[in-house]
Parts: sequence; structure tokens; C-alpha cells
Amino acid sequence: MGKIERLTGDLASAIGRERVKTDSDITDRHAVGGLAPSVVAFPKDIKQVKEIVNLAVRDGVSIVPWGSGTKQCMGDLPSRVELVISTEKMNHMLDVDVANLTITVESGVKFRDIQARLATQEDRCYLPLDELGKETDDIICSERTRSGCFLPLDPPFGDKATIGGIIAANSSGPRKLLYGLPRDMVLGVRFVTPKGEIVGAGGKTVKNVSGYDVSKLMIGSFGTLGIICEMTLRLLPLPERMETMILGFASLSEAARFADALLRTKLIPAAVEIMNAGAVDAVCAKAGISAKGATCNVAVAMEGFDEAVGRMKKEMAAMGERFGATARAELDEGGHNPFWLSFGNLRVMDKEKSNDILSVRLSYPISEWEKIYAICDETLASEGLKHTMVCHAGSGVTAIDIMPDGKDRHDLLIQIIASLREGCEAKGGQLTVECAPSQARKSITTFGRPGAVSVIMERLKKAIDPSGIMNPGRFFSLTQQ
Amino acid sequence: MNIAQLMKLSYDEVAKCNKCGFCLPNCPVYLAEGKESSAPRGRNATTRAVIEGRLQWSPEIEKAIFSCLGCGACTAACFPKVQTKDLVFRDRECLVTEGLYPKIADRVARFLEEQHNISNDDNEERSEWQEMIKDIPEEALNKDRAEVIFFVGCVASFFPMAQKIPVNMSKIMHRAGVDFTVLGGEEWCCGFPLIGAGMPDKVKALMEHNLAKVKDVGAKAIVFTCPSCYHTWKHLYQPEVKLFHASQMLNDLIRDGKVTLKERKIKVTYHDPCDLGRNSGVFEEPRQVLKSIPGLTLVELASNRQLSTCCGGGGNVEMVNPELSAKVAAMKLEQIALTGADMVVSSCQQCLRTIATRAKRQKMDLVVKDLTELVFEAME
Amino acid sequence: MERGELLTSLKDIVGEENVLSSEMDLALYGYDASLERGKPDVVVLPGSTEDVSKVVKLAYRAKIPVIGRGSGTNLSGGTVPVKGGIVVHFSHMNRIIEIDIPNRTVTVEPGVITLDLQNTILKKGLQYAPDPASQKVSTLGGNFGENSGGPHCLKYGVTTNHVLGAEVVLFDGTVVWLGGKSPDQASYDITGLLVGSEGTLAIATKIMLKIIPTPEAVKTMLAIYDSIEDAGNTVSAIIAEGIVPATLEMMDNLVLKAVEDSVHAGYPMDAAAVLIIELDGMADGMERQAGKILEICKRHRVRDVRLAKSDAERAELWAGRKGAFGAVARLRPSYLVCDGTVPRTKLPEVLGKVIQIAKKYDLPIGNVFHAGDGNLHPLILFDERNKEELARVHKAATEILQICADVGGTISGEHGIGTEKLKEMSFIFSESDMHFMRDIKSAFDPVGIWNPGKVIPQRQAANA
Repeated sequence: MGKIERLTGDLASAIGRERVKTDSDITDRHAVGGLAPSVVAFPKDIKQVKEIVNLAVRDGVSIVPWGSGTKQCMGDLPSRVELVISTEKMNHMLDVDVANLTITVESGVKFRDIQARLATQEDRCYLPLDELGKETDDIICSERTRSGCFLPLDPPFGDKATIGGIIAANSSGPRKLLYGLPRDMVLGVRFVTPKGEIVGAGGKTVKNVSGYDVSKLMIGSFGTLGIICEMTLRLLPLPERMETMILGFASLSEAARFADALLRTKLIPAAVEIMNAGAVDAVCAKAGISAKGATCNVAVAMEGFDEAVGRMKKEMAAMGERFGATARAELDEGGHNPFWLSFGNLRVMDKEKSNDILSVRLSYPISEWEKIYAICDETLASEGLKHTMVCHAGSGVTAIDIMPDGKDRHDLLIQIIASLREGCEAKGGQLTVECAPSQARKSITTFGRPGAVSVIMERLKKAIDPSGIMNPGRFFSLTQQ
Repeated sequence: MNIAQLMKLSYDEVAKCNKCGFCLPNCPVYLAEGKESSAPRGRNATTRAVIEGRLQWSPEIEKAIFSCLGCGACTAACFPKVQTKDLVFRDRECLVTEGLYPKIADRVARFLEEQHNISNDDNEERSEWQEMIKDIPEEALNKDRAEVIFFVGCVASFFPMAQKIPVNMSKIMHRAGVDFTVLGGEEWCCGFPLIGAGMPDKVKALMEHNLAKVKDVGAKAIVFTCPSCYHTWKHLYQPEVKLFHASQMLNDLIRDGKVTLKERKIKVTYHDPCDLGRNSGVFEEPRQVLKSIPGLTLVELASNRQLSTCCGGGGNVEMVNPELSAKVAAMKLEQIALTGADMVVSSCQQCLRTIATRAKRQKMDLVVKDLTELVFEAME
Repeated sequence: MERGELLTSLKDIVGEENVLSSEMDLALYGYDASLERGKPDVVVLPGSTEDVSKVVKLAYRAKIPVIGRGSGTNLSGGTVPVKGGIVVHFSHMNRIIEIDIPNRTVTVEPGVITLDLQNTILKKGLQYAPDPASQKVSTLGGNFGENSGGPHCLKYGVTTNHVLGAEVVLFDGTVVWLGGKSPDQASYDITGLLVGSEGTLAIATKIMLKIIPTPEAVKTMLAIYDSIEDAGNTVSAIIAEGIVPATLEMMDNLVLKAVEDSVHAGYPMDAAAVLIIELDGMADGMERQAGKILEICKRHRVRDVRLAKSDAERAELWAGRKGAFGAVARLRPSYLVCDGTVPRTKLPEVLGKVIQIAKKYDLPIGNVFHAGDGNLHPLILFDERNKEELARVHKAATEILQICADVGGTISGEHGIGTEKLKEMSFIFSESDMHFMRDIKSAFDPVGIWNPGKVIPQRQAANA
């Protein structure tokens, strides 16, 4: 009997036969970069995860944790894909404590279900509930706390992503400008270590300095240090009023002058997004909004007290005129929610347009955004490459989807990535390839230079995962075995 | 003083220090040196450790305890109001008993015993500054009996840089019709340097002499331009006559219309002398005087009144550790520069000397004046 | 390494005047603001990153502990050298290196005093949000090591939410930069791990912090109560109404009286408790929020709500709150402050139990706390010189922390574990939780030089 057969048998007796799958339709669905696992396990809770990991440790079998797979194209290709642990069945909300503004959930819970659970009496929610209800074939959490809270994150793939995946990939969206990053929301985690132990850190309180801040280490570690199974997150009261304004400009420099001026006022926008025409058109079309993208657009999310949003709208409209906006669209809550959900799904839409999509994410000092945007725009335009580009002005992140038109242009893509990376690193930034056609992938470095910190990362990975079974090679090619 | 006596006097006070450290950024010596032994908390801890037998008096402790400026800023920042200055001065008494003290203090003690002044000059020389006054007859300054005694103090009597102060003060009082006299050679040092030196028992003779003189003159009030003399008289001598600091008397004279002031278009900042402000509670009178000068703009230092930073001239540190004194003075100059004022005014000859000397050494273009000088100029 | 050789080598690195080794100096670097006490072998005052790196390299070779220290205001013994070693006092490394307004960052040396930074950038219309009560004296290096909190953390988050990066010296003296001006880069969040690690993993020599614009408007209210339960219930009710103020602070009668005696801020001496409620942000809608809060206070039988009418009045209210710990020493010479944190709704229940503990151990306990985020600070008052009383104090403190842990809270919200709360770690962590922390520790500190005897208790004998 082979290693995998024995493992499969032992897994079945440990967690139940129905939770261990080797059928090829299932294993194929859980392939990473073309590598399909031999086994997929569907544990029901953290204890079962522990049992699975212990068996994997025994057999030296590599593990890939899996939520809903929205971000499996990110990171380096794992060096081995043998056992996938899916969190699909770990989808319970363990403690919804709206009085204390915290929620404790299992990692397989979908992001949209958390928001739905927190909706108000009138079903006001941080996501467009009606629209989600129409679109998805699986059921949205119908239980409501009627609390009017929300989880202040707006990551991509908001309708599909699991909270575990969001946290493990440190996934965030435009509204981090106001609310912060996953590291600001996670109060505690429980996970299974690569040695097969259940470890908890943090708790339910915002302030907590008891022991090391292990939660921080787990956020964005791409499953290389353990499998996050449960987490406690910070909530906020749902904003009284949520609206969006999209301003079109004839050039980047005009849009930039507007955005920079806006960020220098005492107004507190939730997001200030610079979007190219392609991005605006795709997002609006999907969200059922009639607006049309100008050369360069600024989409501003406003969330807060009624009076504050009112003033922001008024002042921004005036500023827009002063800075030469050629178009202005105003979205009330009914448009705001679909717009930003659709914004997070831009890549999904872009993928539908091109099988060979190449997605990159650039992060850099916030004041450099206009230069970075210009470099990217010029480089891609000069090659005539179709692309969407969005930039979180004020947060130092630009995301680009390049959609090659089917001809074999891998060499060009590789060359362009290298050139954008050079431009970004020159400004002290980092370029991460988040999605690439499999042929190009082999010739492109995912993360660029890891820098001096890689020494510590390598030491940590070795201390925590000495046998190197947890997502080996996935993150900065750490412990590639 | 021995440890048993120290324990009796200091233990309960020092136990109130819960080491919170709020005194640290208020202590100019800590800011200059960055060592715990320079911090008020460190001095409290040293005192406590000695009382509890965990530390023995040592040359290091001597150095640390004698580098306190006695400015009292620590207590101003302290919530339980631990009297660190008093604790330090008592430590100094013990250290003197142990023979662990800067030996320069012996010389000062000898000067005070033999000449009754800190500069070891013939005490009759105290009147030297009077030569700078041409328009007042000598008898008008040196009377047998008068309402008010002007107690000049050692520094203003003997240090040329500070002699302007009694000159101006005398001229102001003379013009305002105050019936006053100075004691000349019969003025003895108030003894303040001995308290800071840990030799308070040697003050007695000086005090008895000075108090006897007050009786001889039949004065009802004494006015001081020196905040430390004022503080010593007020807290230690406690005579039955009224005590004024010059700034208080000037304020009264202006209020009563006996001194009138002309316009001066200047921007000044005021430095609170530790012994006048924090240690004697006189904050408002000097400011009132400044505000009485038409056209004058007063800009406050970032640290003022209770939290005023010492000029570096306190606690005998200038004598024992001139380098440290200079560092503190340099910090004071930085603060003054930040106000953008044309001039810094103080009402203490020691502050004047320390600040002006440091400014000169650093080639900083700064006008430093005593309150009496500014007032006299405005009277012209 | 022999002591003489150690001292000589250190003097070669930082200069003779910056090496302190007298009995007096060793006694003075053996304490912080807690009740713990230790004794280092030597103290150094470095002037640069290079100095620190060389000192650490030497310590690594000689396997001597290294303990970082700022102003020594730690409340849990974090800066107390319990196993000897080299104390690195950062008082000379106190420069603000860069204020980068376009990127909204500042870079400082660890010895910069928190409030000094704040005052410097306030002039430019920006602020550094965390405001520990000790900000007037605490250093940013200390804030980094302890992950300090403060009243405004209710809305703005604690130190770690404002640290963008740091230059750190690793165990072998290597100097590396973590994080930086580009936010949100792909990497393990090593910076996040180091903040609050109490100097047990590395030592920071430069710290990069996020600065934010000052709010357009601020409204500070003092709500006065005749019952502590009413005050506690108001806190939960405000949050439940969907309002997250910038601060929600509470003081009970015992603390109020001591504070008022000390600062004369106009606190009512006869009240059972007060809340300091502050709103900030855009001016629009603030009036309505304040009105809502007033209504909630009234619903909970508030006696009076006063509004600070000027910056000076506001400053006075805060001066009182921030000096609360020191002020109680007017009542008894010593205090021990517990730092347990509980879910906000558990506050009234826990407060009741704290009062019972005060009775049981016959100790006065004052309460001053960050009510909004459930962070209690029961202050147990006593005289450290009375050993019997001291023993009772420690028992009472442990019991309070057990209560906090039992209701789903934690044993330290912002003061750290240090040496003081080592034995209480097991209230909230399992042996495997702590084992994981030891794994982390081993990656950063293979020979055990970093601030030994802190944060993680020794492995239990049975598992060794």
C-alpha cells in the first residue's frame, strides 16, 4: 500500500469517510497551478484539522489549505501538492457579539455571510444583499442579528471569498483608507500548527498585549505557518449613510490634482480610487450603473454620519468643477454597494475577457502614486496592451490586470513585468504577480526581492514548520523541499 | 546627619515616590545627561536604597547628589508631590558628615565665616556698585534708620555683570520716594549657599547677624532683588517684617502711580527664576510689571511658571560642575530662541549671569535683562 | 567573559562616559515603575545603531543578556534585568530623524519621548494617535516594545496599528529594516510580531510611525454619576447606539478625589464615578452625536454632563486622567495597577467582583480605566514596606486577573506581561500556545540574550 493510500485510509477513520475525497473531479477542482492533490479533506472543525495535520506530519505529506480558491493563483507555486485541507465545512459563526462589536467565526465562513448576518432591521448591509441573492446559487446567510454592524473590510471577491482566505492572504480593498488592513481587524486566531498542535492567540478585546501578537504573524502568511481555523474580528456600527461619487477627468494630472487636494482636506472619505476607463466601464456595467469612464476617473466612497456625507458630496462636487472634472456620477446606497462589490470582482470580469490574464499588484510609498500610475499607464499603452488599472490613492497600492489578446506574447509580458517592477522598486515599492498564465509564471518571480527580512522569515518558517509540509515553497519560496 | 536621622526625616517622603518617572522630562539635569542617577526618580531611589541599607554612601552618589540644581521642577511634575529637593539637600548633609562632598564648599564656608560673603572680598566692598550712581547722594543710600532695607545679596554686590541690578533698583526706589537703605558692610551673606552645600548648621551665625541689623535699622520691610536671598529669608529666617521681592515692590509702585512707564515696542519673554517662581510662588507680579510697559509684547516660554526650566545656575552646580551648568544653560537658550522674542527678562542676578554668559560663549545674539533694568529704562 | 574585559570592550564601543557600572548605577537600573526589582551587570548609553549592533554582537558572543530601556515607566517589570546583563538605555538616541509629510510618516530613534513627537508634528496639523497616559515621559522605543495603548486607542487603535516599520538589531548584531513607507507589502508581518514583544525578540533602533491629520473638531464631555453601575452601563449603551467615540474613560470616587487634590481640574469630589467622553472627526453631525450621548447618559441617571468649553479646560480634564496613577500615592505610598481587559459588556460584573476582592483582602482599590475598550486598571493601594500587606496585594491582583480571564478577557491590555504576570499566563494560554511562542522565540534568539525571564513562562517540568 502506498503512502497516500495509507494516509487516505487513516484520514477516513480519523474524521469520517465522507470527509475524505480522492475522486478526480474533486481533486482537479483543488489543483494549484496545474498540480492536483491526491486527497482533499473536508474537516468539520479545528480538532479534525489537528488530526489531519498530525497524520500528514507522520507521513511527511505536504498540505495546501483551501478556502474557496479565489486566491490560489497568488504566491509562488507550491513545490508539492499532496493533501488539500478545505475549510468548506468549517462555516460556523461561533460567537456573534454585536454588543462588544466582535464576531468569532470559523475560517470557512464566507465574507458575504458575515456581512449579511450583521445587517440591520431593514436589511441595510455592507454588501448589496438583493443582488447577491439573485446571483449566487448557494444560500446567503439568512439569519440576521438586526444589529447594523459590519466587518470593516472590502477585499476582492467579496461574494465568494472565505474569511480564512482573506486573512491568510492579507486581502484588502479600497476602503482600507478609512478602516485599515486585516491586521487592524483581527483580534484573535486559533490555528493548527505545522507540528499538529492547536494554538490560540489574542482574544476578544481590542487591547491585548498578553504574549506575542501571533495573530499578526498568521495574517498574510499564505498558509505557510499553519491553518487558520477560527478567528475573532473587530466590527463597527454600519455607517449611517453610504454614497459614492465618480468624477471623470481628461488626464491623469487633473485627476491627481483633485485626489491629492481631497486627501489634504479635513474630509474623511472611505476610499479614493483612481481608475482607468476600462476599469470604470467594466465595474459599472456589472453593477448596472450607466456611468461611462473618462480617460482618468476618481471614485470616492463616502461613509459616515448623514451630515458628514452631505458635506463631502457638496464640497467634492465643487472641487471637481474647480479641478476640471468632465463628468460626475453620484451613487446612493443602492448604487454604492453594487459598485464596490463589482469593483472587487474586476479581476473576475477581466478573466472572462482573457484566459491569459496577468495581474500584478504594486505597493509603494503613498506619495508616489501618480508617478507609478503614469509609468504603468505609459508602459502598457506603448505596447498597446489592453488592461484595467485601479489605484488606491492614499493607500499606496495599484492593481493592474493585463489582458493579452490571445497572440503568444509571453516574452513581452515578462519584459513588461520586469520593467514595471524596476520602476516600482526604484520608488521603494514592491511588485507582486498575483495571477499569470502558467507558461509565463515559470519565468516570472512572484514577489521580487525579499530583502533582508527573508533571513528572519526563513528562520521562523524553520522553527515553526521544521518538516516543511505546510504549503512548501508558496511564500517567497520559503523552505522549498 | 547620620542614616538614622535621615530615615526619620526622609523615609516616609521618599516612600511616596512610586517610580512613575513623570519627573524625568522635567529635570534639566536628566535631559542634559540622560542617566538615571541624574533623574529625580534616581535620586529618590538612591536615598531610599541608602536608608534601607541596600547602598552605601560613595563618591558616585556624592557626584550624583551634588549635581541637582535644586530647582524643584520635579516636584511640580510629581502627582504625589515628593519633595525631592529637600530629600537631596538632606542627603548632602549626610554626605558632608561622611566627608563625601565637593571640597570647594569648604572654601565657600570659610569665606562666609571669615568675610561673610561668597567671593572672599573685604565685606566693605559690598558698596562698590554705589560708585556707578552719580545722581544720588551717598547718604541717601546708607541711612541709619529706614522704612525698608534693600538686601542686595552677594552676587549683585561683587560680580560686575550683576551690579547693574542694585544700581537700577536703587534709582527706581529713590525716584519713587521709597525710604530705604542698604546695609553695606553690615550685610552678611544670607547663608543660602550653605544650605545647598549640605551645611545648614553654619547658617545660624549669619542669620542672627542679619536679623539683628533689621532691628537696628528699625525697618518694617525688606526688599530683595535676589530670589534665593528672598527665599531663604522667607522660609528659614521668617522675620516679623514684610518681605518683598523687587518684582513685587515694582508692581506695587507702578500700581500706586509712583513709577510711570513710557512706551517700549519690544517683544520679550520672561524666565521664571526657580527660587522666585516655583519655590516662592511669585509668578504674576513680574509679568504684571512687564505688561505695564506700554507697547511691550510678552511671549511665554514653552515651559513657564510651575514648569519653568532652570537656567543652570541653581543648587551650587555652577560651582561644583560648571560643565553641566553650561549644558543646562544651553538648553534654556534653545527654549528662549523658540519664542522669537527680542529679549529675555528675568528677575534674578544668577539667572542673568548664567544665561548671558552662555549666550556670549555660544556667540548667540541675545539681549538679557533684569526686570529692574528694563523698568528703569522705561522710566527714562 | 570576565567583568573587566566586558567593561573594557563596552567602553571601546560607546566611550567610557557611556558605560555605567558603579553599585549606585546598577541599583538605579534595577527598577521600573512596577514593583519588580533586579540588577544589571552594566549599563550602556549608545549613540547610534552601530553602537547598539556592536554591543549586541559582543553580548551574543559572550551570551550575556541585553535589556532595552527607555524612560523605565514599564508597569510589569519589562525593563527590570532579572538575570543580570547589559541594560541599553536609549536616552541619548532621541532624535526625530525624518518627518515625511507627503507619505504621512515619521522616523524616530527609540529614545524620543512620545509627547515630544506629538508636539512637534501637531504644529504641522498632524498627529500620532496613540496617547499612553505616560506619554509625557514614555519613549517611542518603549511604546514599540510594549504595544502601548491610551485613551484614544478606542477609536484609533494601539501602537501596533501605527507602526509602519523599524530598523532592528537581531541577536547576532545584524541590522535589518522591516516594513517601511510602502504599506501593506507581501511579507510575514515581522514588525507586527515585534511590537509588544517586550524586547524579547530583537531591539529597535529606528521606528517608522504613521501620522494622521488632526481632526477638524473635538468635543470633550465629563459625565458625572452617583452610581458606578450607571456609569458602566452608559459605556455599553453608547457603543450599542452605533457611536464609537474617540475615548470613553472612567474613574471612580477614590481615584477622583486623589486626582482632584492633585490637579484641581474641577472634578466633583462626591461623585461615585465620572466618564470622560470625547468625540472627534468632521464637525458635521458631531452636535447630533453629542446630543445622542447626552440622552443615553440621562437614561442612565447621570447627575450632570459638563462640556469642556476651551482647549485649556479640555487639557485640564486630561491632565487629571493621565496623572491618576501617580496621584493615588497621596493616599498610600505604593500602588499596584492591574491591567486586565474584558469584553466591554462584562465591565459592571467585573467591577462588582473587584469591589468584593477589595473587601476580602482589606485593601483600598481605586478604579480608573479605558471603559470603552474594556481595559480595567484597578489600583491596589498599600505600603510596599509592609511585607504582609504586599503579600495580600499580590494575591488580590492575581484574583482580579483570574476574574478577567474567566469572563473571556485577558490579563494585560496594554502594560505587558514582563515578569509580573508570568504566572498568570496559564489563565489564558495552553501549554501548546506557549510552546508556539517559544518556537518564535527560538527563531529570534537562539542563545537567549534578549530580555530573559519575560513574557513566556519557563516550560513546565513535566513537558520539558
